[in-house]
Amino acid sequence: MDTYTVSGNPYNGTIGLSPTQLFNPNFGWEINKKAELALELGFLNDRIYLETNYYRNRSTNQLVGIPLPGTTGFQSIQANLGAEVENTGWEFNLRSQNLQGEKFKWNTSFNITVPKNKLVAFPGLEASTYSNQYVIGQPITIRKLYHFTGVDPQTGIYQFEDYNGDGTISSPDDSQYIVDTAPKFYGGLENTLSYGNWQFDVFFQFSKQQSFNYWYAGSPAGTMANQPTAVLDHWQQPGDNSQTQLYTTGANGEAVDAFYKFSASSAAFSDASYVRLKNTSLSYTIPFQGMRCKLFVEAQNLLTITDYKGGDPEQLTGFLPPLRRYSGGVQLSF
Amino acid sequence: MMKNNTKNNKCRFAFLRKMCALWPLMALLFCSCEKNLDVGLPESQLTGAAVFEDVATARAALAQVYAQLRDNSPVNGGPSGLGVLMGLYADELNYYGAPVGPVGQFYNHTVLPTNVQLSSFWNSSYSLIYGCNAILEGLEKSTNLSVDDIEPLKGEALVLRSFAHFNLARLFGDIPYITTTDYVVNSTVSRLAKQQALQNLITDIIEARPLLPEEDFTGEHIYVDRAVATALLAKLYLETEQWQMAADAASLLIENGSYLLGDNVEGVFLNNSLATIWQLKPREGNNTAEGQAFIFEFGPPPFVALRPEFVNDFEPADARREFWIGEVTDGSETWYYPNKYKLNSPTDSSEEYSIVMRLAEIYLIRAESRAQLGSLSGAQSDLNAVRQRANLPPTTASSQEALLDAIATETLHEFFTEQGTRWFNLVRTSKASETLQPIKPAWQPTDVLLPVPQAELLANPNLQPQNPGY
Repeated sequence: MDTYTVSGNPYNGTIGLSPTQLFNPNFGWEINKKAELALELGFLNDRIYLETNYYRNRSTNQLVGIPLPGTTGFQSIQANLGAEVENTGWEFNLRSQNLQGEKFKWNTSFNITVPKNKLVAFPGLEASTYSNQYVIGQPITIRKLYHFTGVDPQTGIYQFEDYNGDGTISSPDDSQYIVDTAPKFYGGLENTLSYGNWQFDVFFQFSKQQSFNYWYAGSPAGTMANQPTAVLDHWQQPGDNSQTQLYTTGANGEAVDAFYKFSASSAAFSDASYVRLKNTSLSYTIPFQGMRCKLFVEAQNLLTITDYKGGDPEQLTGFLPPLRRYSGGVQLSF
Repeated sequence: MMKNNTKNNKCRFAFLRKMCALWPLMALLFCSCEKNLDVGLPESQLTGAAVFEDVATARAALAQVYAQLRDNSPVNGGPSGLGVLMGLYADELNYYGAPVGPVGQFYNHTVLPTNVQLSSFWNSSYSLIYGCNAILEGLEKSTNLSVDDIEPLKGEALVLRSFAHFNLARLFGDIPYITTTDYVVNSTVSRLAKQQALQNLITDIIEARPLLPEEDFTGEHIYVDRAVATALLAKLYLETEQWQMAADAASLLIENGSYLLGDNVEGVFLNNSLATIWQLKPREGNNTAEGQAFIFEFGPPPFVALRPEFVNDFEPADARREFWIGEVTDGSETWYYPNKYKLNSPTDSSEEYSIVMRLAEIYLIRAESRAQLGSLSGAQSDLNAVRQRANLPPTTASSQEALLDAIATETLHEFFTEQGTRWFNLVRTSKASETLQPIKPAWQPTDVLLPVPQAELLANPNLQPQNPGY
């Protein structure tokens, strides 16, 4: 229903009534269809235990705030989308008791998830406000970017592929380089070793993914803003072969323009896969009569292996990455 | 056997009874809200239809459009308004903030289609246009309002809608011309050629003009009345080079008698100035956003300042140089700021309102139109009326070309940092390149149009192609 709300913004003493939302008479429920297959296998008296899951979820008729161009007077409208989105994936969980001796025990647990997302159908995609955002058959987590082709050795300015061949680089026609921001797979590996009263746990976490790097939200080198060290290798004179363009204070319009296209190009998107030693702990239980006394030391985020160009591959945005933490303690149970 | 049967019957009966008790639940199972959800209206909201059954609520809907125009539109007067941004874009202001920020992009002529100030020009204007269209449609459907109630409201909404479109057309060139609230239509709309859009605006104002009251009921010129419609019409005729029509519309206002240039430049920007045709009233006790954006007390300037070259361009006797320009010095360097509005903080009751149109512009419109029509003495006398008020001697320009130049200079000295007047005139008279090429290193001839916001092109491919050069 088109409605008006008191805006609290008076003009000449009259409190305004402002239009609240656009009128959409046709709301409905979203439809979700879920299917899941699971197989659990135990070998050697369950010393090796494997869980396998396959799921397939399809949703249609999503009730979403469909983005609208400003010419409608609003940013979005609550409406049902005819798109069909499919989420499929495999999940594996493997547990094994490697050693089960009197004193020495070693257990391993490994899990991995391989998710897949696909836009199956979208009637009228071409004519919709999503036409430049989604592609049928591709995941809905894709982004369309300019295709970075290097720094022009003569002018020192970033260059991009001119998809439509019109001589200028502009969006959306030249933003045709597709990347997927969702992880390919992710999981964890845990080992628990115990010897008598000693216990040692170590847990690794990993993810194979691509993501936006430090170029994505940067400013041109030469302006009053922090820069990655990569700008040290910048273009300085004709003939230079560099991956970073010339410096500008912001007065060189062509360079500023190229920089912002660069930050919305394939160059601002790179590998962000990582393996992280998430948790490590060592504990010793002192065998007292009638009470339990456990001494422990723990560490989190001790080690990260990654090629990510940016802050932290686990927390891709924001300023405070997961902290490295050490803790130790005594636990008494009566 | 018999007994058994009875027992069985009883049993079946009991089962049925249980079923009966379950019926309401079963019914719920089968009647899901497959198609539509219907939730009641929150108490703080009114339906669109109800708003236009009562003149007070209908006026409140219009009050919102005025408030939006004042606070959140290209003419807001503040740092995101035309006065600042197009003043930086043209040759009026220097910029002292971050060079690559959205405002710096205007100053350096490196405006990107993703610039947030740009989308703010666009989105705030179309939001306002939606408000006007909602009012026009509501009035159309109203069953309870009298013709006397409907007519002025309709006239105001039409003129406000035209005014918003007019600013868009001058900034972006070809623009979507929106006359409905139907989002299905508006989200796939195409751009209309600028000249055709301007012609539509003229038609709208001609329709609105007779519906409007001669003068707004407050006497403060804070609502759209017939004079505002006439002034906007004069500006549109000038923009479309219909010189005779522009001169005639201007004459209507000049000969009206209610508006006077005054003898000096001192009181021009007070809220009781007789030269004011339309001004936007601030919230009670506030003064103008222009005052807050421009006035500073210590150098170097925190935000923007007038270009010294522009300040030095005034004739020595010009009273506007003395009264409308403020100076700040740190002993070695001097900076200048637009000081048309003197107040940058609230007062007991508002003393300065943000002026949208005033009589001097009408004189200069007629001067230019007359010069174009070859009526040089008429052009001179209109130009001299403005010069005389500024303590300046009559113009020495006598040829058509010299007069047009003199009028352009006079317009700059009279209307600097007011609603982008300077920039719009540079574009209208095709003088932008020759004026800005020497002072803006990144100037491109295609800079005469701003780029359409990128988000708009993505959301509505029918708006393509982007303006040239972006």
